[in-house]
Amino acid sequence: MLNSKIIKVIHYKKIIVSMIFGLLGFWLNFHAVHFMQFADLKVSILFGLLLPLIISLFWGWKYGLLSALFGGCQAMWWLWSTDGFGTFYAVPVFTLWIVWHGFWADYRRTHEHKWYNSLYVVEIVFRIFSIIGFYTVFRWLVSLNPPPWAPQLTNNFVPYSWINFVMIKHVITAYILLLFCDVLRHFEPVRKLFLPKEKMNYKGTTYIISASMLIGLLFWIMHTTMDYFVFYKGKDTFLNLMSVNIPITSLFVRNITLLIFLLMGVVLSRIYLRLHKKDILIRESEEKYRKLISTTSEGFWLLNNEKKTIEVNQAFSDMLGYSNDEMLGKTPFDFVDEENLKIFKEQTSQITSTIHRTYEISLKKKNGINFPTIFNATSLVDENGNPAGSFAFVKDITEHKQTEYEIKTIFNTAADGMRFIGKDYKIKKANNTFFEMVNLSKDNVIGSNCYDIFSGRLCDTEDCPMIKLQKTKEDKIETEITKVRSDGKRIPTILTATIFKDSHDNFTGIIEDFKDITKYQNAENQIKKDLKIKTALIQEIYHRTKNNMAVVSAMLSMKSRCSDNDYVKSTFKEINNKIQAMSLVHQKLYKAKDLSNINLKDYIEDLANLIMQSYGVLSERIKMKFDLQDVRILIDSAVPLGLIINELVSNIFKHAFPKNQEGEIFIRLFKEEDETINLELIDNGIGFSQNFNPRKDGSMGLASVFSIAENQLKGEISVKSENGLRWYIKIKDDKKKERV
Amino acid sequence: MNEKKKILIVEDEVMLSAWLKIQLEDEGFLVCGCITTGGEAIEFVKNTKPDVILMDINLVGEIDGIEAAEKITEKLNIPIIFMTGYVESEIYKRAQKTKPVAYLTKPVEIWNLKPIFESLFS
Repeated sequence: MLNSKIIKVIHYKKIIVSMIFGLLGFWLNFHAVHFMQFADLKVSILFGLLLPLIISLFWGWKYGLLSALFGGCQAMWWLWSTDGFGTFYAVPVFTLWIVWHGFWADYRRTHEHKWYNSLYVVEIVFRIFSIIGFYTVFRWLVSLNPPPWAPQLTNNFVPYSWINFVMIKHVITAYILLLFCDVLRHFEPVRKLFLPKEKMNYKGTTYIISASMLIGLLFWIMHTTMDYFVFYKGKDTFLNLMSVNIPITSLFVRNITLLIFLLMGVVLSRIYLRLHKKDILIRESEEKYRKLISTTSEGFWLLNNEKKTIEVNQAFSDMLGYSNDEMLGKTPFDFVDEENLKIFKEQTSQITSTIHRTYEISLKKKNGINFPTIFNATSLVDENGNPAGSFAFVKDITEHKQTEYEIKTIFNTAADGMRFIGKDYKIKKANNTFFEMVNLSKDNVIGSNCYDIFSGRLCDTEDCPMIKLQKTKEDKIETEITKVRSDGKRIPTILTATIFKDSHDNFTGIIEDFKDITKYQNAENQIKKDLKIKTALIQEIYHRTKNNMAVVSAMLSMKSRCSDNDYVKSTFKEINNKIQAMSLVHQKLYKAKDLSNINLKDYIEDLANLIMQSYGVLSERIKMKFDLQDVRILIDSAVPLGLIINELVSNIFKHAFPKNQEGEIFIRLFKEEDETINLELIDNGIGFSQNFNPRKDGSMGLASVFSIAENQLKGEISVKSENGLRWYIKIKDDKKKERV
Repeated sequence: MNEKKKILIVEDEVMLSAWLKIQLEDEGFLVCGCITTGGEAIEFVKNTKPDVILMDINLVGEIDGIEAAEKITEKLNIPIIFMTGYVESEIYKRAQKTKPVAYLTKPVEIWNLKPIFESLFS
């Protein structure tokens, strides 16, 4: 984030500088410097071009183009307006020139420097195409100029002699500008300005360039002196002869000489760089590595051929508790106990060639405490192949060792059996629980095929965890499986197979974790068995209860035969019906799956039919209609509700349709969203007589209906006498939690 | 029906068979026996051949109602009506093998039996 911000700031800075250089170049080009000035030969240098060219060479063609378009190469639209249409070729060529050199500068930064991609050679290619363009495109464009168009210069026809002359001027100008750029490129202050993070040292080339410029300047002064005292003695002042009014021939000689000196400076700089580049790179590399060593968290230890310490970093001396100076001159043997001394001697004895060795060893701190380390040691040899010492990177692995110990302990003491299987199906590692589980020793397990030691239904199938984990790209497989030990014993387990990859993300095998579930499975079987017994017992109880009620009912029926009194007989019948209503609940419970609740729909249908049969009513005379939802109800509510239904339906058969009247009974059952159970009993019989209050004036049976509904079931009950009777009962079956 | 039809009741609940007997006799049938075990029923029918047997399935003793019915129907062609509190499909399937006249769920009342007898003895 911060980096991207910095890059943005640098980018904006480059844009602004490119634009400023472009504007400066625009202004400077209106002040062309005369390089040569003879009667028929004049070469003016547009030094403004130098500024976008520098931008392009240092920062690339994009910034160069910006600088050129912002003014660096645009002054010529005014300067050469006399070329008419010809300017449409002549002027953009300069912008292209900047881009061309910027492109090659970018190329050289990412590719190897070759003679053919050097600054001066790529100029030749550009210049060839530019000249061809001048001879063709430029001449054609000028021919389009309407006459008379600048007759003193071109008119509408450009003679070859004129183009020849202009081309020579362009070549000279271009190479002088390139040379100046090259000079500036070897000048350190300029480099620092454009490349502030420059790592390479350009001091040497700066001195060479400065010297060449100074010599050129001295020659300029010397030549002025000669002109003043010899060739133009008494004709002009020294200052005029040196700068303002330089004679034409002197200007030519001095410029050429200055250029030669600068060229020599550039050549010498290049030779210097080539000679010193190796040293510079080595120095830079050394600094880089020194910095790396001093900042690394690993210890660095350099020994000479006599195995004496000649350099350590701060991390290593901190590791051992010594100061850097205290460690210098000491041998590795001073930092180990006797046990580790053997390892060290063995390892250091191998310093015969440049070999790399990695080994673990415990070092002794200044306070005498040992700590584990890992050594990455490399032997050094000199150019003749003789031993020249060794160095090592030392890592404190105390934490690593502790973690390793903890993992090992966890692995070995885990309650689950675990094994690591390699790609070749061989068991590489296993924990103690696994050895106990398979009843084999470690020697018999490690190295054996996984399917020989602990086989199962997945072995030799496509579902083998080793195959499946590789194919499906899943990380884990979990399944319940019975494994078979080599002695044939079957062990039910929960297997969790996990893919195992090395630090390079290469598949190396799988880890299998086995949870022995023999105990759980036995317990589950026992629970199932117990449940079956209990279910059978409960069913038997319901059956017995129902049977007992049937016996009671039978006894009552028989007893009722002993009386001739109709009231007594009727009373016995009512009681019998009530017993049957309760008995039916137990019959339904016996059939019910969870033995705790019954389906009210079935119950109401059966009960109503039973009562109808008990009163010997023909279904043709009194029709029963049902609209019953599937509503389940607990035994606690079912029995009292059955008694209510029994009473109300019995009353209908007894009283609602006197004199064998025909009629209809409609029973509706539904459950509301809030679980309220609604029961409606409607008949189209004679209803209550006027002013009859069922609560006060009703029989004991009716009183019990209100009492059961309101007091026992905590529900609501109401009745309307309109074209028969309409009973509305609302109850909530939430008074007791389900029993099972 | 000039001659009273003989009915054998095989039921281990004596009170239930007694009540059934009263109801049947009220309706004009002759209850020739009330027996509580399957074994006794098999022996009984050897001497007295009833016109129909009301057989409870869940009986005390080693032989249940279905087994007793199987043994009886092997030798004699006596219609059997099963009475049971059980409604499991397994028991029903077993009972069906003896080709019973009816399979009634308890409580069995006279109005359950009357239409069956009517069609049986008509």
